[in-house]
Parts: sequence; structure tokens; C-alpha cells
Amino acid sequence: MKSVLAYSHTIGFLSNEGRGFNNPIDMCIGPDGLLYVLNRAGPEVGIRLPYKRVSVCTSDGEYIREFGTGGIRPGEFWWPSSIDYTASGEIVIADEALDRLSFFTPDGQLTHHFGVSGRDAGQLNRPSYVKFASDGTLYVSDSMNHRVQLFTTEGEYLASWGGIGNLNFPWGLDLLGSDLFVCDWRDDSIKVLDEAGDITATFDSEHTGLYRPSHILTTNSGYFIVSDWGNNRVVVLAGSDPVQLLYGQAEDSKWAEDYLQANPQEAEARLSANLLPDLTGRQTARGEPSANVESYFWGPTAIESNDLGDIFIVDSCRHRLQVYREISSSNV
Amino acid sequence: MSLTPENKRLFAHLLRRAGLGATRVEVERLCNGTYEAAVEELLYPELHPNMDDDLIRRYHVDQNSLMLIESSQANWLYKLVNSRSPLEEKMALFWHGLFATAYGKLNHAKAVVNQIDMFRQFGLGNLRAILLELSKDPAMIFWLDNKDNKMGAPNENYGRELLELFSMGIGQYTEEDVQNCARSFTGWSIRNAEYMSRRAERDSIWPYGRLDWQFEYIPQNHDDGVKTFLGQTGRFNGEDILDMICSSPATARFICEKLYRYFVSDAIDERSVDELARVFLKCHGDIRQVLRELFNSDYFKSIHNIRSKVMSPIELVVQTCRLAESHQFPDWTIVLTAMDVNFMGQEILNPPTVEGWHTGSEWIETGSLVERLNASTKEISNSSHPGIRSIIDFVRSYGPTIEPETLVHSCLEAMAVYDMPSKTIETLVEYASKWGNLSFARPDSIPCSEQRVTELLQMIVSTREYQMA
Repeated sequence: MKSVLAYSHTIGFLSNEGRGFNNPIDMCIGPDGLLYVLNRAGPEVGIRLPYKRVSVCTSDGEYIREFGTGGIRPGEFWWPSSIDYTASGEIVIADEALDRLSFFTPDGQLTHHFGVSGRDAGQLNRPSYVKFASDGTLYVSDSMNHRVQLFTTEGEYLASWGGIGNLNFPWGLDLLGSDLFVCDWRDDSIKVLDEAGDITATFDSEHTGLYRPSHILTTNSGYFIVSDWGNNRVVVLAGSDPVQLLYGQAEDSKWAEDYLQANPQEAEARLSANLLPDLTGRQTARGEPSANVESYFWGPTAIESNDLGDIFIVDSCRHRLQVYREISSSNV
Repeated sequence: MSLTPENKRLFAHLLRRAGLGATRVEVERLCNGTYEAAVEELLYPELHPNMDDDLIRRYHVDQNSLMLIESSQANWLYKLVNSRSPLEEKMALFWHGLFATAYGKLNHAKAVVNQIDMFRQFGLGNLRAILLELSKDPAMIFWLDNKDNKMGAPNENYGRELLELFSMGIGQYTEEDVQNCARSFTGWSIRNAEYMSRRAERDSIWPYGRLDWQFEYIPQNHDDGVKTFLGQTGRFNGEDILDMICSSPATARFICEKLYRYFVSDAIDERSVDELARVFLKCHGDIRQVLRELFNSDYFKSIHNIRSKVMSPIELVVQTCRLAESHQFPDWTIVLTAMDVNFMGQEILNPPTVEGWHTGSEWIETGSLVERLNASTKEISNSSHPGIRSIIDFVRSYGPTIEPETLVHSCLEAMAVYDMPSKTIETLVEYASKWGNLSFARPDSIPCSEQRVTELLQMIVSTREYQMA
């Protein structure tokens, strides 16, 4: 194993409104360089619907603004699942309960939306991920139809790839040249599709150790960074070979520090607590270490990078982003 | 065994009591074997590995961390509806009712969920092992203040309830036994007790959500002095106390009476409970063996005990969902269905007191009855649910034209209701006759006929008999 990524800092704090996140599920770096973090929140009961929103902040954790709310009307979200932006700077948000893709200005004004539930070509069944190519083509993981669909920004259907037997609940996508990398979530694999939509390579779990991968980021230096959702870790791959496993090492973010300063008794008790305990019994079962150790990833759902070399890992159940930096630039 | 009405009625009774409701397909499958074989199948849930919960955690991100009570209730409901190990879940509900631990004081839903997981793992095993796990369970330690139980300053809450509510029953021990029981459990605490207590007091979910609690034995807080308990004297610790509790005839009687009330009847038959208690002592508290005796007994199979217990809200909702085959895949409405259970008076994971819920006829009051009927009829009337489609298809298999009497009988058969009294059947036939025969002969008549089927299903789930187990 080698070190490709090194921990940098943490952004985040659990909040239902304002500065902070609530079960963030995806993020994108806008053309303005700001982080747009999509909060899934839940469950879907009235009082909690406003917690579903987009939080906007800088890469060093300065809170800027938020927009959006839960609901089913145009411009609202029910199960927001993914966020990206178009070449013209519009933000697109997928909703896998409403089978809808909604487009917003960066300050949150709805411009248009499209999406029809169903199984036919161009219809959607739980769109879990959206990704714009540089030519403007919109790639959508149509998870319960087990395919990836291609659309124009206006919603015109272009093509459908995969299907039952080829993909199994696909989730995260990334593009590298003409290759599309698909996290084939329930197949525990990464599939590579060419420009015709044919599967040309598979990184299977036997080789990678992945369990329910949610997202993949291809780096300029040739590594693949995968959020290994089911194993609560991040795996760095060189080709299909794991070269680094990350389990998370979050510290108190600036927002967390502010909270603890304002609540000194809780902060004092926290300081004397052992937050990295030895685990035994059921605490070691799959998924459980993350519930016991605060610094670990818990349900990492997405990965994004910016031009500064920051790699942001969306740590959904801990309501934060763990930020890493690439320290090894050697090509694979 | 063959598919006689008597056999179907008996297997359906077993599935309602020892399982989570009966469906026609399950009853007919079990009828291919013996009754004893069906009991064994239920008693060994490990033969039926449960479903992977990845889907529910993936779509309900809030159910991945189980920070909130609503999310946790919905998560358990999903498992109850989809479990392939119904007795395992039924026992988890039993122990949850007996060792009632509530979110309301803990402010930590996953701690209670972890306790339920422990009941799944140990609930059909030996009582001593269950009580040992319970004594180490962080939710219980927090719930009954054992984290504050220290040498020189004992807190008797857990020691008292262990004897009174969880094992022996009041009148079977002295006040000195309570004090020495508590002393024996001094030092049984949770890790980072001060920080976790402060967070719980303030209901603090910051900065990054809840942290699981872990058991920790703190030797310096343990009172290692000489104690007298149930007439024996020694330097007892908690495990010694559990040995003495579990070998006591009072405990055997107490646990067996609880099992009898839960699985057989609200009215205790002393001789039957005594017999169960003898089995309990003979097998050293092996719950599986006690249940084998109970399910195979004549009193369990007695006609007097069939449809004699009011279903708890969670049993009623789960049975109806399993019949309708609803919530088989994650969808956001399961939160609303879980809230229906709350409205009927049973907040799972949040029982009202350490005594659990008052059961039997106390489930029924004016408000809760309306909620029971509304929730049942809502679930059973949705013809998009696969189970309802199956019922409609079953009814249609009786021919293109179906008389009201056949309609009623086919619906009851399809719902595995084999014991509806003739008077109730007459009422249902009268209702079904209002619009004459049902026709599936012409395409334009099918929607209307299907609606009439679901309306009849609504009437059936509203009967007294359906609401009883």
C-alpha cells in the first residue's frame, strides 16, 4: 500500500438550517469555485422537509448561503440524490423520488425541469446520479431501470446504456476521455463503458474489495478514488488494484469548534472522552465501527475535487466533508 | 398434512401467533409438512438468513445512521414486514415489551435499535445469556441509571427492576436482596459516561450526530464486598446474581407466565404455566425449548385460544403489510405507516414506562379503534400492492362471473382467514350482494369488479376477527 491521499481538514456540522449539513449526499464545485452541497435529510415528515436544501460554502469552510426546500412542487426536492452544473453555469439536481431533474441558477432560482417516471426510453426510475460531459451531454444513472441514460440539457433523450443484466442499481459516474466509469452499486464493481455504451472493462469486488461503491473520481494522475459506501471507506485504485484504503480521520471543523466554544461544559467533557475506543463484539460488525468512532467515514456517498488539489469526500451520516489532498503524483 | 380446513386454520393460527401473520401461500406450503416441522422451522430462524438491509440504508440515508426515532421505527417496521425469520422478530418484540427501554429518556434511537438487535441474536437462547447481555446493554444501563451505580453510592434502579419486572416478580425477594443485587452490578457502566450523559441531557446531536454507546466495566467502582442474595452469601458480582436468578423457580414461573400471555392467552391457565415452568427449569432456561413445548401443546392449539387475543398495533400493521406485500422495497411512505402504529397507541422503541405496554383489550379504545380500521383499510385497498393483485387474481380464478357468496369465501381464503364465524360471513355476503354478481367477463367491467374486491377486503380487515390473533 502507498499513500496517495493525505488528510487535510474537515468542513461541516449537523444543522437543520443555515451553516451546516444534514445527511449530505452529493456535492459539486460550481464555476464560481464554491462548494454546492446537496442535503438529503429525512425522514419525509412535514417539520423536516426544510432541512432538504443546497448549502453553499468555500473550500476552507466559509459559509455563503443556502437555497431550496423539501416538497413536491416544482423547484422542491423529495429525495434529492445528485448535483452538478451545466456549461452555462446552471445547477442541476436529480430527485430519485420524483424522478425529476431540476435546473437552477446558482442563487437557487428554478429555470426548468424534466423527467417522467417509467421504464421506457427517456423515462426515469430513481435517478441517482447526474454528470455533465464537456460537450453538454447529461449522463443520468437511472438506478432502478439499471441503466445510464443520456439527455441534452433541455431533456431531449439521446441514448440508453446498460440495462438489466449489465448494470445493477448504478450510482456514481465519472468521465475520463471517452470512457464512462460507472459505480455498479449492487454488483460491487466499477464498469467502464465506451462511447457506444458497451462495457469494456469491469473492476470486480474480488479484485478491489469494494462493497456497494457509490462514487468514483478519476484523477489527472491516473488514480481512481472510490467511495466504498458499504465498507464505510474510500479506496484508491491504480487501475483495478487497491493502493490505499482510507477509513476517515475527521477532526473538529471550524463550525464544530464554534459550537464547542459556545457550549464549554460539553466541550470539556468531550476533551476528556476517548473518541477512538477499542471495539469488540457487534461494534466490529460491518458498518458498526463508523457508528462508534466519530472520525471514521459513515456512508461516504460522493467524491469531488477542485483545481486547488482538494479532494472532498461527502460523509453522509456524519454531516460533513472530509477533505484530503493528493500527495503522490506519480502516474500509475 | 393435507389441505383440510382444520389444518389450514391450525397453521394460520401458528403463523399469526409465532410469526408475523399468515398468508395463503405460507399456510399451504406448511400444510405439505407436519405441524411439528412447521414449529421447528419457526424455532430456527438461522435457517432463513435475513435480507441484506443495504437497500433501505441506501435510499433512506437517515436510516443508515438511525439518529432519529421516526427513522428507527420505520427501519424496524421494514424489517418486520420483510423478515424471513418471523419468530426471531416476534421474540424481539416480546423482549422489547418485557425489558421496555424507551427512546424518550435516552435521546438515542440507535442505542435502542442496538438493544433490539441483541434480542434478535439472543432472544431464542438461554435466559441467563439474555439477562447478561441485557445487563451489559448500554441502552439499559442508561435507561435504569446503572452508570451511576457505584461502590459506596449504589443506584438501585436496575437491581430492583431486574428482580421485579424482568425475572422473578414482586414478592419473591427481600429489600436486602434488591440492595445486594444492585451492589453486585456496581461498576457496570458505559464508556465515556460523563460525555455521553451530558450529550443525552442536552439532547445534543452535535457536532456530527450520535455516537454509539459501549459497555465498560469499571473495577474501581465495583463493590467487591460480601453480600447475601436469595439466602446465599459471598463476594457476588452481577454474573453470580444472574446464576441465582435463573435457577430460581420464581423466575421460571415469571418468564413462562409472560410467554403464555404473549403467545397463548391473556387469561392464565395455572396448570399450563406450571408445566412450562417445569420445562424451563429442566432445560436451564432455554427459551427455544420452552417455546417448542408451548407451540406443540394442546392448549396452544385449542379452539378457545384461536382468534382470542387482540393484536397489538405493530402486529396488526405488519400482518396487513405482509398480506398486501407492501413496503417490500424502500419507499418514503413507510415512515407514515410507522406513524400509524404510533397513532394506535404503540410507539415501538419508545414504550411508555419500564413496565412496557398494557396489552390485550387495552389496545382498543375509541380513538385507537378508528386508527386501527383506517390503517388496515388504507393498506388493504391499494390494488397496486403485489399482494392485493394476487388476491384479485385468486378471486378471478373462480370464473368470469362470481356470486357474492363465492366472492366472500374466495377473499377469505385468499387472506388466509379460515375461521370467520358464519354470522360475520352472512353480513359480508349481504354487503357483497348489494351490487349483484361480480363480472370479469368484459374488459370494461374489470376495474369496477376489482374495486368491489378491494372494498370487500376493507370490510374483512374491519371485522373483529381480523383484528384478533
